[in-house]
Amino acid sequence: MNKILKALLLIAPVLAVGCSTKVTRVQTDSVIDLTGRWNDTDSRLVAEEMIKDCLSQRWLYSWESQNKRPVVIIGKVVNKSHEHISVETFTKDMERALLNSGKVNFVASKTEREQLREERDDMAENASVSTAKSDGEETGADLMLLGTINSVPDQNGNKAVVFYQTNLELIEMESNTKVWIGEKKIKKFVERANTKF
Amino acid sequence: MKKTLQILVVGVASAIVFQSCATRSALRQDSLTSAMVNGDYLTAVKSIQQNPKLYGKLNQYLYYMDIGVLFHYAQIYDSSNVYLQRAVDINQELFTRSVTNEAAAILTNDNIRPYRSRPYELSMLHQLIAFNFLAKGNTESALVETRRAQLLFNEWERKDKNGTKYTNDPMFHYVSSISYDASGEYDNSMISLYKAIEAFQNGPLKLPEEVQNYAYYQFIKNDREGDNTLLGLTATRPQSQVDGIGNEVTEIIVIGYAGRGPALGEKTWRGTWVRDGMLVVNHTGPNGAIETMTLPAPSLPEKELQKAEKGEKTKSGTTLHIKFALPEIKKNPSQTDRFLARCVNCGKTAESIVVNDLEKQLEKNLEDTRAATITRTVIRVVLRTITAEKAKNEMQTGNSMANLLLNVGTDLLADQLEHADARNCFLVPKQVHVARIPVNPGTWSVSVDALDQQGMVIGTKSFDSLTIKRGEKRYLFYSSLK
Repeated sequence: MNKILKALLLIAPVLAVGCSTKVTRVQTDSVIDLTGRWNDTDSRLVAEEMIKDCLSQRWLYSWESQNKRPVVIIGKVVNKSHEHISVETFTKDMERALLNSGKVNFVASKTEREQLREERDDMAENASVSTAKSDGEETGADLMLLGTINSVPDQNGNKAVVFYQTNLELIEMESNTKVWIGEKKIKKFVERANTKF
Repeated sequence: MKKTLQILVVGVASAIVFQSCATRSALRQDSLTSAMVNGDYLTAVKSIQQNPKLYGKLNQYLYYMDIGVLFHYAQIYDSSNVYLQRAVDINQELFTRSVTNEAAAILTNDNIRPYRSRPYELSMLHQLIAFNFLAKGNTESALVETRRAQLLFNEWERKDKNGTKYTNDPMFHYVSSISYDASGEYDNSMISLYKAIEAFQNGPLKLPEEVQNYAYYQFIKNDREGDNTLLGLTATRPQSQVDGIGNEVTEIIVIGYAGRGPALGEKTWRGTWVRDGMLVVNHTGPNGAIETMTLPAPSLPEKELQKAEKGEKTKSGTTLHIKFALPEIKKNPSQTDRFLARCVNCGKTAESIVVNDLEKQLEKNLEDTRAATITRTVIRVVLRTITAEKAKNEMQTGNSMANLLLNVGTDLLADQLEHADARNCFLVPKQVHVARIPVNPGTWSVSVDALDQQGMVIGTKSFDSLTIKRGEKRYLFYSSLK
């Protein structure tokens, strides 16, 4: 009887671990694909490619030769894919990398500006005159970053091929001239098991 | 205990556990109906969340879909999407089928399989997610749903070799067409409109005259007269009498939900042949009424009579029992017949048209799946009857009265296993209506009346001070589930 009890006591923690939620911290750049949908790896790949391309192209030299840093505003990246994708994950990565390069300045986006203006209005009423910031002193952007994410899925039963194409464009605000077009293509083959035990 | 009887007892034990799946569906219907009819959707949500056992692990899809639908009716769109997206994920996770689960279902019944949804329900699921986005003015995300649903339609079309099953949803394509137009994608808008007309023509829903005329002139407007020829589309009214033709028309779109959607019950048939006794046939309809027919059974064959004369064991008093159950639609009568939308300060009115009828969709689904359902039912009934007969043979005694009691007992045990899969999402509306009012950009107030068949107003909802920009499509929702 004692043996049975001891065996049960030994097995119990194993069973308990089997039933509990297990969480492991992993490297943020590790590739983990669970469903085949767009995930952090895709977002990172797009950001890396876009940053590298954007900082190495000619458009930046023309500003550097004039000893100027262009001011960029992030516009809309339209999701035309078949998945709900958070585009901010790579646009923010890109914004940070370009800003940290010291070659580009960014101004607040449309929604951020609305909050800032609201805060300035509040300042005008409640902050001391010496510290309140005035309206009409905002920096206008020289360039706007716009983009699209497209996808072409092809599915047959448990097999699917999904092709994603992300395009980002920098457009001069004054002349509407496109100065840079970045592109990242990702192709995935997804196979799901038909049966399990 | 003999082996076959053991199998039967194990089967019955598991059936008693899973039988509740069938009764749970009925319990859910009972507990949610009054809150639904009274428009008390959040009470219904609370009731589901407090009692998840009404769903169980096998009906997780329904749990999330039901709550998502109720939040949508309550116009809490973000919460609705959290639950509906989870339902989509569950459906995708269920793509891989468990071999053991499928085998167990053949031996017991289909209620032990996880509920995977019916195709028209999946379309409705994506449609509701899209509606939630449209209610918040997020056309871009609504179009993501259009593309996700298109993947399903493509897959269903691929599987439907004869081209007779439900593979496309007219409502989905019709609404997608409006969304594409709002985002300036006119070609995609026309492609969706084409698919909508095609789905109306091939499906159980009648193509509304308003949609027919709208599509006819819209194709011409977009240089696609060929589509009219391909679809065999003609106009029944001159263009001057058809509203909203053109691209990026500013409009108020009222989506009305009329009546409660259909539920499923089961229809059962039982037959017992008491050899040398009688033949009893029972039929139970979905309302629970039992019809019984009793006939004298033919006497024992000559061979058996000779055995009786010799005092040997005969088949007298043994039984052959068969029960089978099939799902049957339970329709809910709807007091709401249509909607009348009025732009109070611009004087325009629009009567709604039916773009989806979930009752007809469920009927079509039962028709599409009839062959598969009957095949599965026959296989499990035959397997179970053979097992029960074997168990009865192993227990035979020399006493015909004792035999009869043992046989009836075994038949009762086997009966417990047979249940039809009567699960569906009955919280969806009976019909989905659309009323479109083209307006100029400005600030408008809208009043929507729910009307009964006689045109009497049975409910009204007002939407005040709606500021609508040029080219905007403003979606308004009204649920009248009476």
